[in-house]
Amino acid sequence: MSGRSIEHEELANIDCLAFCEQHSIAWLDVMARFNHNTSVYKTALSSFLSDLGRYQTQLQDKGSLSNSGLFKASMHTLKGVASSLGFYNIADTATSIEQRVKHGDDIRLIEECAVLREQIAYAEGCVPLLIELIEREFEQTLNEDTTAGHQLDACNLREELEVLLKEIQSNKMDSMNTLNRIKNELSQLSRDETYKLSTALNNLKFKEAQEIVTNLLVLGD
Amino acid sequence: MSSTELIGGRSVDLTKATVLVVDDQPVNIQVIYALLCEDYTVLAATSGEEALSVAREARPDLILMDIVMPGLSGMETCQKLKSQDDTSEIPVIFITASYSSEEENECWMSGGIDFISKPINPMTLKNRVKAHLMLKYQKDTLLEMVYLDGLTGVFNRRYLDEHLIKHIHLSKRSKRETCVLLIDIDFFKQFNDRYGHVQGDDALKQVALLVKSKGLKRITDFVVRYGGEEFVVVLPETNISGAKQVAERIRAAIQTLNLEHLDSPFGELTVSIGITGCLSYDVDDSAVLEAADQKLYQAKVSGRNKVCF
Ligand SMILES: [Mg+2]
Repeated sequence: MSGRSIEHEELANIDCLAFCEQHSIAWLDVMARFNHNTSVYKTALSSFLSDLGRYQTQLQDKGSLSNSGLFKASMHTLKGVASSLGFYNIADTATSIEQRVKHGDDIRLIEECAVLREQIAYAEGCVPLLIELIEREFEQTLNEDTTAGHQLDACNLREELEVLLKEIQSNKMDSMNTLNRIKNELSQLSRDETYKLSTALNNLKFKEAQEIVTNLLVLGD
Repeated sequence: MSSTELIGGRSVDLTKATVLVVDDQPVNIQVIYALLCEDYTVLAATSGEEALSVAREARPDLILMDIVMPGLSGMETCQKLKSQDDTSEIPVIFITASYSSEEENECWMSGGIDFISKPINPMTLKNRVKAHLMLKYQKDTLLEMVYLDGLTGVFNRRYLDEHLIKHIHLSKRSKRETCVLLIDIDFFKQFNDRYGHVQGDDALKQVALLVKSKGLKRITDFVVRYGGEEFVVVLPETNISGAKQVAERIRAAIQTLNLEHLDSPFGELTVSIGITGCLSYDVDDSAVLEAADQKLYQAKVSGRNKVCF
């Protein structure tokens, strides 16, 4: 992985497996871990992407190193998440940083933080492309299905929204599937709110999602 | 791997089981969701605080708990769950990324029943979850067997012994009345002698069913088979006049069953009911039952098929 930037054109003739091999993402491990459920993996990637920005800010902020407890905890979390999602190089660097904070090895620590920042920046380039590839490779038929006469009318949309609200109120993970099923129709009602809802659910912020759905139900009236 | 299992040749369906996954990192929850979503209902909470409220609300069959979380840690959350009556029975499995034996000991001490280590091995996770759900199912079944009356399916006397006293305590504390109904089938010995035990048992089942459907209105109300042909209904947060209405409803419903009983002056099966409130007695369940029995006696001597309070 040299500092080479990732071009969108790369995607033309490539599948997820090849893309991941090129960019050191452990696709096969991940698929086993996610039970080959690419849609959940995709959701996880989206929340990972927003987390990466947070880590980047933290690594750039010299002050964050002074709170070693918090910084160590943050590296511990990154290690777990990155390895779950197949970004082993990030996980390894985070593990090593966690150890160095523990043992007060400051010189190597600064070097490794720089490495981690590069790896994160690289991943920030890869993740959106991987999401796009997953959509192309695994969700094509799904999209065709929804356009081929599966349009929900207003009444059904309301019913589905009510189902969604119930699921969200009881913190059900299945709410993400329900949202995906009605996303297109919901976007027509309000693009902004649908985007906010999707972000809230990706991050499992159920309380926030509940408010948005309640608003959408009012909008639909 | 399916979530239907055989126990003693009986198939057990675990697909209705609910698993709550607690982790401050949504990504970790999504990994677990991907592995379990085909077999169970998966709930999520991203903090210990949220987990406590979801657990009370949804009563999951199993909780998978991260250890390191901002706010309440996994262990603190587990301790809180174990200290609350309504969540203490839910098994908690910790998901841990570190391997220190001190941390493991703390997990056991806070009430966890098992560990799964991160990064998660899918087969291990699936099998552990299934094994613990199965244990929970067996335990629930066993509890049912311990607390339910085999013939009528309502609670048994052991349940009453353990639970009435709790309600008396609650009643004293809140100063809100809990009422007890003692129900006795009139001339039941004669019924058995005339119609035989098979019909006698059948009558008991029908009476139990009616008492349940007419007598229980709230989730905290319960019916117990107290002795041969005696039933007890416990109505928390109900005053005497409310209890009287319930009792009258039960008495009338049983008479309208029109179960022939030619050795009764009524010509059909009837019940007598004694009612008492708990507040006027000490914290003593046998004194309360004794008082209900005296009211029942009054109902009997004043002609049966009656409610006395
Ligand atoms: Mg954590």
